[in-house]
Amino acid sequence: MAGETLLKIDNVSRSFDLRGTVVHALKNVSLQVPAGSFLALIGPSGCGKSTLLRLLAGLDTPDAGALSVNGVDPFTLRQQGSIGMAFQDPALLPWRSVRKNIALPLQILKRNLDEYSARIQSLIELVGLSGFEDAVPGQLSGGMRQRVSIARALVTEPNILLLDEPFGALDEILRRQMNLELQQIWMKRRPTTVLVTHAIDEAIALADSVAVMTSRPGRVVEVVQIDLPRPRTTEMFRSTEFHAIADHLSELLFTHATA
Amino acid sequence: MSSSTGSLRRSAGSLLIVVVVWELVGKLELIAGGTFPPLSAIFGRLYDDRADYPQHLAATLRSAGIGFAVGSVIAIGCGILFAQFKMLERIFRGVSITFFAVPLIVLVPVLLLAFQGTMPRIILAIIAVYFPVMVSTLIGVRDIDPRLAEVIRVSGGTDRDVMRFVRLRAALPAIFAGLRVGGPGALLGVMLVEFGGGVRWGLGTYLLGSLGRGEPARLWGIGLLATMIAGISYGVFSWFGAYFLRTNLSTTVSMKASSTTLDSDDRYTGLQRLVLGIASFCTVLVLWSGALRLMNLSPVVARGPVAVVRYLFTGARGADARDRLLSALGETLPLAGIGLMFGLLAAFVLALLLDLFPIVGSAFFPFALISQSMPLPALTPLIVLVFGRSVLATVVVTFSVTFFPSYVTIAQALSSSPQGAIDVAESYGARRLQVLRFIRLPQAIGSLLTAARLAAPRALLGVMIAEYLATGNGLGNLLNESRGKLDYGMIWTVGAVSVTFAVLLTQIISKLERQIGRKFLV
Repeated sequence: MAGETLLKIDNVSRSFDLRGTVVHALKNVSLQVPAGSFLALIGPSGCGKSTLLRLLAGLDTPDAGALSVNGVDPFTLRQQGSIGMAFQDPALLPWRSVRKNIALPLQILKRNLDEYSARIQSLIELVGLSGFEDAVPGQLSGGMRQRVSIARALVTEPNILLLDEPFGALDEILRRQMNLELQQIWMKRRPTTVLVTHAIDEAIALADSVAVMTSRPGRVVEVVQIDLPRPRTTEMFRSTEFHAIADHLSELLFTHATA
Repeated sequence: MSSSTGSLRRSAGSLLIVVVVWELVGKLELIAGGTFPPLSAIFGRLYDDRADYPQHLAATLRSAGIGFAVGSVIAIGCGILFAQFKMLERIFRGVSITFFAVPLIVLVPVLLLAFQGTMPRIILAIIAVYFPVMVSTLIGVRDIDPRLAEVIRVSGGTDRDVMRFVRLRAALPAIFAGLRVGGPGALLGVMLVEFGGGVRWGLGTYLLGSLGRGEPARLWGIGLLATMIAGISYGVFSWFGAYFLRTNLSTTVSMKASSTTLDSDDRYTGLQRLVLGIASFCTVLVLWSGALRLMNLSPVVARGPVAVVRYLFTGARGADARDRLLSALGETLPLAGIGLMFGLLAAFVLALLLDLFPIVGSAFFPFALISQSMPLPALTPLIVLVFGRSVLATVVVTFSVTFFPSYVTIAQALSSSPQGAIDVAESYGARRLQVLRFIRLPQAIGSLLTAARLAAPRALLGVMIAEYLATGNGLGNLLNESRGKLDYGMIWTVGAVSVTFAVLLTQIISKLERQIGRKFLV
């Protein structure tokens, strides 16, 4: 693709009025990552990382500044069906089966579902839910529901994948498993991905670069490049490089938290 | 043994006891000299009258069915529109509250003046159905899990898509909860108009005729039949509602609890609120005059808001009209107040007792179900039969129409205390009584006001029906008398004044309710 192939966050500010007091969720935040890379946003609660993700999704508008991917603004991207998003809560429609939940974005974009049945089936296999196609969310475990929501985020083959603590509600063991699975899925198509998390190990395991954020006002203090080779494995979680990066990130987080 | 079979067994047991006690009391003529016949006599009479019932039943069911269907479609449509366009809802709020608070009986003479044949019955059924269905649709469509809407938007969806894929489906349990109340409402509306006369067939006509002839067994038979119809429709819609509720829960961590009130005006400034209030009040007046214009009635018969004011204040007989109105109000309002107080108090005490001794609750359930379903027009003649044409009968009617709905509201609030708070108290060794005192009771105080707001219009309706049918006092009687004397001005005036009082009362209570709610909001 010609022109700039970038995810670009340019001097973005967003504040909220909470019962009379103005909270600066984001103040003059700028970030730039190459298209097709994996960015993690990490920081304490209230540092504006979720706000930033919602701005990227076009669910909210900044008070100042601009966001774009390859020069296109989030609202246009959204309408093109270029964005896939998964939340901490799977937010599945409880009355729809796994298959129909995954098909939802296609229906919204008025695509002919018959043409996509093979893709939906392969996504179900990819996230390991074969045999559960016709189950409704109430019959699935928390981890399975989260896989459905990730499959749903992928069904339109989005150029941008936005993940808002998608594994935050899962236990540690399941979370690591899902991290590795997500990496597998991501490596197949390499959509530009932004992951919001508060887990240092998750950020390192998945991201090409980690933006460390801090609160009051929400801002980016440093962007750390993660140069570990892919695919990253569970052995790597125990390596010295991994720990060195983890120490550096936690130092950044704690210095600024107590500052 | 699972607890549900246990409670089922207790309910069945208590139902059996009711049947036996009823039979004995009736047989021995223990209450009011035979006005409370044994069940066997009631069913015997039902069988003897079997040739009469089909036509009465068919007439009532037909009007109620049409009214229910049309009313539901209108109400669901309005609910969806109001959920989409907040300003529209705010402008029509006066109309909505009027339909909620209006003692339906004041509309009977008006409708009989304006329409012929079965139309008055159908229209009153539509009006009775409108509010509960509209409000539950509005709340169901409006209060969805916001994350589901975000999923749709992120995927490129518009508000229309959110409506189509989420709101309409998510609202189904609420809509059915509204229809569940609307069904018996339609029956009530139809039977009230049948009391007004002018039709040969209908359960209400049959009931009124039997009241005049003093035939207790037949009265009870008609009453129980009407109860059964209302109960069946309640049960069917409950079942659908429960089905959709089951399929709607399950995944989401915290489905937002539906509120029972309309949007609060907190986001508006004082001036904006004043303007909105005036606008929504004017909408009522405009609709009132507009409807009269549309129906093309003679101005002698059909009085608009201006004509009512003129009748009361500038007309030749204004002073006389005011006197009669004031003395009727003086009779009706205290009775409604007393009945409401007793109903609320009894409901509160019973809800507390049942919270302390839950086993009694399931035994109590069948009574609650039956009396919830018994249409007011069927209940009133029975109470008049037992207690005579007296003030006592009026208070009993009012008590019984306010007691059970209030009980349900309060009991729900008592049992909805957060488990976490109860666990905390119990971990410090709190007894049942202490949990009640420190956690459940403070939470239930607000529900007393909610119950009062919901019951106040019912109390007024109860008093007026008793007055209209039996006691010859107050507003109900004034309405009936004015019909006889073709005093059209008074008919409209009684209507307007009683609506005004009902609306004022519910608005005052709802203001208190919001203040208390704000205080305890976390």
